[in-house]
Amino acid sequence: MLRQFMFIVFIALLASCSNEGQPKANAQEDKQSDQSITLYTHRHYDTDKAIFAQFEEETGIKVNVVKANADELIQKMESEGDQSPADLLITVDAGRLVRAKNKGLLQTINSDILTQSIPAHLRDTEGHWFGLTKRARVIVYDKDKVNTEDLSTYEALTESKWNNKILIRSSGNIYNQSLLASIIANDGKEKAKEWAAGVVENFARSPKGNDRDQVKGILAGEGEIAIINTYYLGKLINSKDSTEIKAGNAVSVFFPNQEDRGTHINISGIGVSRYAPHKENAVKFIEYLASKEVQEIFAEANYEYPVNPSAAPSDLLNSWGEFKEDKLPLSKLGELNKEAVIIFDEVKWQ
Amino acid sequence: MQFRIKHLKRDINQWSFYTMAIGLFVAIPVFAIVIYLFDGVGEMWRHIVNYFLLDYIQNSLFLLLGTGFLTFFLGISSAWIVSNYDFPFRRLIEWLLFLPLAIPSYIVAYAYVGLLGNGGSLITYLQSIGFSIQKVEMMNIFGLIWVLSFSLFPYVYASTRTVFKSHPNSIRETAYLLGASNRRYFFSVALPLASPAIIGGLFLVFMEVLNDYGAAKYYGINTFTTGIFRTWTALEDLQSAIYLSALLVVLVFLINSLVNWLRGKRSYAIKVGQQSSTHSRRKSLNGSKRIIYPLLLAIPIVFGLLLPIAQLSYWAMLTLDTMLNAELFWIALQSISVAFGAAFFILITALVLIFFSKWNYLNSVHFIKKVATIGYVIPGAIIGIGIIRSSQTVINFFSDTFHLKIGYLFYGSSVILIYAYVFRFLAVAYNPIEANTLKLGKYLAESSYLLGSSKIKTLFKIELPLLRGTIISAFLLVFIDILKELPLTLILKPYNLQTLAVKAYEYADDERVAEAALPALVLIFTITLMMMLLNYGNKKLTSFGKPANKQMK
Amino acid sequence: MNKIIEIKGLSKSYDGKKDALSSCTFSMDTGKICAVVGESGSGKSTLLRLIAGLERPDSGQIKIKGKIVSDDTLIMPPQHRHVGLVFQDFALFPHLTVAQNITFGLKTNKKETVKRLLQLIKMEDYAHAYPTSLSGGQEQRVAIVRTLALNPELLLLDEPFSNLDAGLKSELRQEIRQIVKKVGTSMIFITHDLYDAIDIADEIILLKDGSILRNSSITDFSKNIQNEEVEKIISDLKSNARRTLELLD
Repeated sequence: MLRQFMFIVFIALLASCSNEGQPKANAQEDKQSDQSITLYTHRHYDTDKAIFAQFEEETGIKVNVVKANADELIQKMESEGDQSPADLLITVDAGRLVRAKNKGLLQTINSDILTQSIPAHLRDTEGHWFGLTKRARVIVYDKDKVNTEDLSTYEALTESKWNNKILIRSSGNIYNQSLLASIIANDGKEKAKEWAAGVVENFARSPKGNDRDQVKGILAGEGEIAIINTYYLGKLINSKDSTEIKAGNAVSVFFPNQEDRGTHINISGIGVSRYAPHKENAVKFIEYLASKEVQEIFAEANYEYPVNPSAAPSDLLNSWGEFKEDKLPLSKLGELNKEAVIIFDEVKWQ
Repeated sequence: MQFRIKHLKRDINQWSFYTMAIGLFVAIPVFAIVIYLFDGVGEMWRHIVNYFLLDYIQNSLFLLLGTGFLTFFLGISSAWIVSNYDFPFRRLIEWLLFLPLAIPSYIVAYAYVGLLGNGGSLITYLQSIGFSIQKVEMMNIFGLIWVLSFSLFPYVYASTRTVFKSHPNSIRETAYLLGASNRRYFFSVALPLASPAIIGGLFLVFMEVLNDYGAAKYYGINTFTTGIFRTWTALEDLQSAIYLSALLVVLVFLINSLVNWLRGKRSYAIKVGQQSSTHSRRKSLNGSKRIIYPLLLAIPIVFGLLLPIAQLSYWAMLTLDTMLNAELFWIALQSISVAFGAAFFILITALVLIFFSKWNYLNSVHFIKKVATIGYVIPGAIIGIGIIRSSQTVINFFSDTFHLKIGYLFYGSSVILIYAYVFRFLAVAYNPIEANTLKLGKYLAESSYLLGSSKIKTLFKIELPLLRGTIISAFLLVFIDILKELPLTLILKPYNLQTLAVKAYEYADDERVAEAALPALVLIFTITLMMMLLNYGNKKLTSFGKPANKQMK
Repeated sequence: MNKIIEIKGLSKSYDGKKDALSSCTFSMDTGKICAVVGESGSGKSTLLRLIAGLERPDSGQIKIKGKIVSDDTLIMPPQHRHVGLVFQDFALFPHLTVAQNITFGLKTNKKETVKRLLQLIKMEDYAHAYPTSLSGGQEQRVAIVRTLALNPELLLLDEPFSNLDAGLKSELRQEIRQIVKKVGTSMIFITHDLYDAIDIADEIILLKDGSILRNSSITDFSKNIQNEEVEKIISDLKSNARRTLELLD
């Protein structure tokens, strides 16, 4: 009895799974008729949901969200080929968007709105992808122990005065890999390797934990400076955990390389898939996300910077001050990612 | 031997073919790994050998050593105390000692950082009552050993306890009459007699340690499994990942052989006489034991169960408003459905293999069992990689030859994932069910044949009903294992499937470890429920599948 | 008279035991009772299992009622041989009642058959009892009528009396002989106890180390003995009997 029931349950499940996975054969036909878009996204910030809901309300276009790891999503789109129901791909770093483009998974979008809303270095030159939010990888420092005069560039972090004072997460994380990629692009492979080795010399401890853990380490007195993404500081300060709040308030933000190329930034971005069944709606969606009003909410919710220059950053971000950003084409970050990983391994940055 | 060839035509039957076919089909991932080795090393292989290989080997071996010692101590001490002594709440404690298995080891790893890291809850509490303690650094290999040991010791506990309980009083009493002290009895008699079971338990611990991905990754320890993931994703070199997998499999087989050699062919089955159940075997605690023994039991329970649950509960409360929602419920439902479905398939496959193999007359076919059940010792990450690689080949083949795009079957449905679960966990169902069919003996089935029933009819009318209890408990065991599974699921799950285990991992990996608590607790709760069912089922059902009271005119 | 069973050159080895049965040849007439006697390990069970079709011989031929059921090219499965086998531990299905056990192999006439057979063994009231509530003797009777329900041509019993205490033994021996003779079924039974054979068998086969030492009718058993071993067995038998008589007188 139980067995039969289970059998039915299982067949039902299998059927439902397969159905969702099966290419929508009619997708081409009701391209314009059914109002919806399918979004493959790596972002898993709950705040996004509200924005999608708002888009649905305003335009009547339903947003179907498929959340997964960016690598998985790319693989999925690859295997689905021209049968893919994906209209849009969202990632949390530029490198993967570049990878998707190189695999031929995205298509060119010509939109004046987007060209005007998003600065050139934050989108693909051929219009395959567009940045939606911006984050900087900055130096935060112990307010009590460090003077801003002592800080200048990423490269200067190898100086002996920082010996045993630098807290930074593992090389396995994409944000560090992108940072090193930008240094390779700007300073060349040799110098980049020397830099990495120098930073390793100055580690306060072997890399452990995530960005927020580095700041907690400053609070605990294990180190004096840390390298983190800006939005993590926002998360700390607004955390529910009292220790995290203390940690966030114990440090200040410093934007490196203001005198030369600018601070390293990265984007969370979006692209229209090559075989998108609802291209028009998809473009509408991107334009929606790039609009001033939405930018302000979208970015603020996760303590990120808007890409649209006319959108104002939140008060918290403003309090950190304006900064010059490295206008290196972000596609470079993707191209040099593997080299960065190799260098990290060579200098034994755990 | 000459007879075998002469009788090949006579003795071969459909069951031989089915058994071979099913067994081989199930074991494809292993063959895949071996075959793809012939493609040569990947481009990053030199790099890996130069910078990582030694690390992987050293760390893995050190982990095995460390967890081996700690689980040995924890498992045996607790098994001994609950088997031989009586004290208040003993039954409860006996059962609680199983529970750490309900908490996946990577979740224990997250919890401990929350307890003892910078600003950890336990640290804060201790500071508030006067201890000047800063933090305890968990994120190193010792922390990993600690976490894995407290999470996995129940394997040693369970098998050792079963053996200790089965030692009849007569052996113990004889030893005392011959002048042995308690301690001497323990070290010279009880422990040696239990050694095969202890080794069996340790073996399971080792397999789990090598399989672990989430905990090692979080603590930043380079192991084979984390290396395989990293090589595939960050270094983008699937081929080298396959080579690493092959090396790990070699390590696993070495351990397997070592374990078998240690265990030897000795069977320590002791004949149980009639009197063993009448005397109460347990003594009460007196003297210093009154304090020491409960303390010894408290250690695994506190560190393996209470502390992690407390930390998870704290986090869950913090994140309740964001996490307690329909999505969580939906994920739980998906997790449970997939686990049920896969467990069902695994059970069918196990039963099919066991009985088809019995019905066939070629002895050589029996080796298929070893091939098909090998999945349990192969780390999930390797199975995932093997299947991914095989899938590519199959998809390309269909695309090139038949111009059929079948990618969605692999990436969009749970078919492949369930197939992988079957391969990975077949042994969990196969071994206990097979053991019980052997216990049943062949005479019942043979009587049935002689009374005119076909093999299949006998299976359904006689053998399956009598195995009902074992089948259900095998089902539950498999279900629990699937629910907890991480690395395999991470690699192979279709994009539209989410499980509690993966969800918890993703949150932790994305630096939102507090949010991982609620999915983790739901997972733990579900598993605990299943364990309670298992326990209840074992007590209720006699091995004949009918309740104990019978009619008699 | 027809031969119920003819065996030629039957051999079987196992992994653990070479030559469990070594080139056995014998035959038996329909309607007779034959006892296969030997020590443990002499190959008795193997012989029975081969006849029943539960094992496959390495070489040799078995014919039942003139039809080949087993040789180098074919093996008729046990279901089709019309042979009944009662195991040493009776192997009653523990999760079925006595009545359900008896009717297990039947397709028709279930009720009448159960009634008739239970009457035969004087256990009419036990139709709905479960095997675990029965005594050893009762289980054995049920096991026997379970096989009789299918009207087998040949009934095989594996050590049917070894689990019983002495008084029950002789009672059951006779009871079985009566039932079998009444129905006309041929019977082969295994025992390590020569007395069982002497009491109820028509013919006797002595097995030692897989080979047949002697095959004769009971009345001819002690006559014309060529074999030393057999001579010794028989003289031991006689001297034991004499001693028993002396002690009792």
